[in-house]
Amino acid sequence: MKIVILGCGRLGSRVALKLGEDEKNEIIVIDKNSDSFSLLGKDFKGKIFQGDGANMETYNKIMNEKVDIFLALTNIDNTNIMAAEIAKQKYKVEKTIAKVDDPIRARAFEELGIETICPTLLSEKKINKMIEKKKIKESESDGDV
Amino acid sequence: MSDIEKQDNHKFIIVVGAGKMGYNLTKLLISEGHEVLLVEEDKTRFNELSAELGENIFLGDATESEVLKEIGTNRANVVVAVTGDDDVNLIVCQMAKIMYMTPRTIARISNPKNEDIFLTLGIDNIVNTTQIVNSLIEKEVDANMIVPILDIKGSNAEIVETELSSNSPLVNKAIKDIKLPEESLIVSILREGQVIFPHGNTVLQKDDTIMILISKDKMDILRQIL
Repeated sequence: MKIVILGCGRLGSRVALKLGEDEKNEIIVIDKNSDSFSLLGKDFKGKIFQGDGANMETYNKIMNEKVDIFLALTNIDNTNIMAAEIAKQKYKVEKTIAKVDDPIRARAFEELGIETICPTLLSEKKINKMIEKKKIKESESDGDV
Repeated sequence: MSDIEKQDNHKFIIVVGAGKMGYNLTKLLISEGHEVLLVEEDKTRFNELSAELGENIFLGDATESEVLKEIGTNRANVVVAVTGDDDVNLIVCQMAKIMYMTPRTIARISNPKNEDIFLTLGIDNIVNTTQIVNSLIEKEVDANMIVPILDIKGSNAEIVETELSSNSPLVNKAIKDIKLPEESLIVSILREGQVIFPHGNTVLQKDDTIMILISKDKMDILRQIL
C-alpha cells in the first residue's frame, strides 16, 4: 500500500515507523521543516519530502500516482483539514484521516465526510474510563466489608 | 442612496484577518452602512487598531468554533476571510458554512495553485491576490483594461476595476457628472495606495484605480466611456 503521512512530529514519525515495518507498505513522509525528519531515525526505509501541507504544489509532486492512505498529522488543525480535503477531493484517496484537536471542529468536518481523529476526545474518554474503573474497585471493596 | 435603501441592504459582515486588506475592507464596509466585525488573532495588531475601530474589531482565532459562536456568526450574511494563510481562510469559510449555513463566504488565496481546490470545497467566491497583482502588471500594456475582481454569485453582477489613464475622459470630473451606465456604481477609489470612499463630489484623477459594481450586460457601455 502507498501511504502518505503529512507531519513528522511525535505522532507522525511514530506512525510512519510502525507502518514502515511492513515491507509491502510504501511510505512517504512530508514535513515543512527538514529537521523534523531526524525523528524517523536512520533505519527508516520510506521516502521523505520537504513541503508545505497547505500548498497544492506539494501534492502535485508526490500524489499523482494512486495513494491508498493519507494521514494528516501536523500540529495545526487547519492544515490537517485542508490537506485531507485535498487528498480526498482532488486525488480521490480512499482513506484519509485528519488529526483535529478541537472537538467541535472535528465534528463539523466529520459531517463533511472527513474522517478525523481527535486526541482531546480520546484523552477525555480514557480519563473517564480510568476514573470509572477506580470507582468500581472502590464500590467492590466497600461491598466486602 | 436614501436611508430606507440603506436599511434594506444592511448586512452583518464578518471580516477575518486585520492585514491591510482586511482593515481597508472593514472601513469601506462600515462607510457603506454595514455592521462589520473584523477578527484578528494577533494581540499587537489588535491593539494598534482597537482605538480606531472600537467595537468593530475582535481579538480571537476565527478558526476556533467558540470564537465563531461568540462573534455571532449565526446571524452573519457574509464571512470574508482575508488572512495571509490559505488554510486559515479555507477553514473559516467552511466552518461558517457548515456550522451556521452562512449564505455567502469569500476567501482570499495567496497561492494561485489552491484556487481550484477552494472552489471544489464549496467556497462561494475567492479573491486571488496574486492574480490581481499579475493583472495589474498586464494592465500596463492595455490602459483601458477592465479587470474582473469578484463575481457576485447567483447574480448577473460583478465588481471590476480599472486604472484611469491620463487621456481618459473621466479624469478631473466629479462622479456626479459622469454618465455611468445604469446598474453600475463606483464603490471605491484607490489613490496613491489609499482607499477613498467616493461621493458625488469626489473628483477622479489620473492614475486612480476605480472599483465598479456593474451588471455584466453593461460592460460594453462602461468600456466606451472610460
